[in-house]
Amino acid sequence: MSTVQVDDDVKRELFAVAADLQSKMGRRVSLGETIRVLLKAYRSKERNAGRMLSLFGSLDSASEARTLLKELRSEEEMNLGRLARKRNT
Amino acid sequence: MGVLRGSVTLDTSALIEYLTGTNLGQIVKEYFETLKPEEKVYCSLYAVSEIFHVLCRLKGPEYAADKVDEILSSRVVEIDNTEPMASETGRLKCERAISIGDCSCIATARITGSRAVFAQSEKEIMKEMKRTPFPAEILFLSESDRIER
Repeated sequence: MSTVQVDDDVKRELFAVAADLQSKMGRRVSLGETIRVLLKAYRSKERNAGRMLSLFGSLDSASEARTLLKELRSEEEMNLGRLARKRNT
Repeated sequence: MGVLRGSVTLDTSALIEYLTGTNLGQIVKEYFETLKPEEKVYCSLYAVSEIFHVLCRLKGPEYAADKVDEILSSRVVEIDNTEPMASETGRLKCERAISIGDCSCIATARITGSRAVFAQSEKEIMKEMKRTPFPAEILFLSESDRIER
């Protein structure tokens, strides 16, 4: 265990978050656990470039993928065209 | 090979090039590798559906769900799922002869103040650009030599 010094207003906020967590979790929550929750929330907002970079080249069928996207978009165009014609008749 | 810089909105076509590891995808990879904190990467909620669809058709729904989850949980790409984006997409589709996917990318770029990045120069987009400029800057990975360094 070590001591961390914080300003009074930060201490008040920390106790308020701990109280909020306690009421949500229905059990006693220490200040250490409160800080851990806050750190986790902070970390979860950080970019994980490694995870994104690991996806590069993870799919082997480039031309098939391009064709599927093209087909999807032209099917939508055809459906929209059909709807528009139906509306006009 | 050119280098992307600044904040961008990636169209589904650009993300597919990245996932399939092509030369065009390599440009996106280099961009991700050197991404600065102030540079934001966006894609539309519609693009997420399109990517899921393509992956699902190629490898099945579980594979698609896993890959989409990995993309989203990396937090490198931010998803624009706002009502203004949806309305702007509809407005563009009403005015322009391009797909709703293209519209959602351009709408996201306009709302986020970023540049819309497509894989290839599509003739429908080029035709519309000549008619009236889009409300966001459009880049094509296939013309990366012209992308500002």
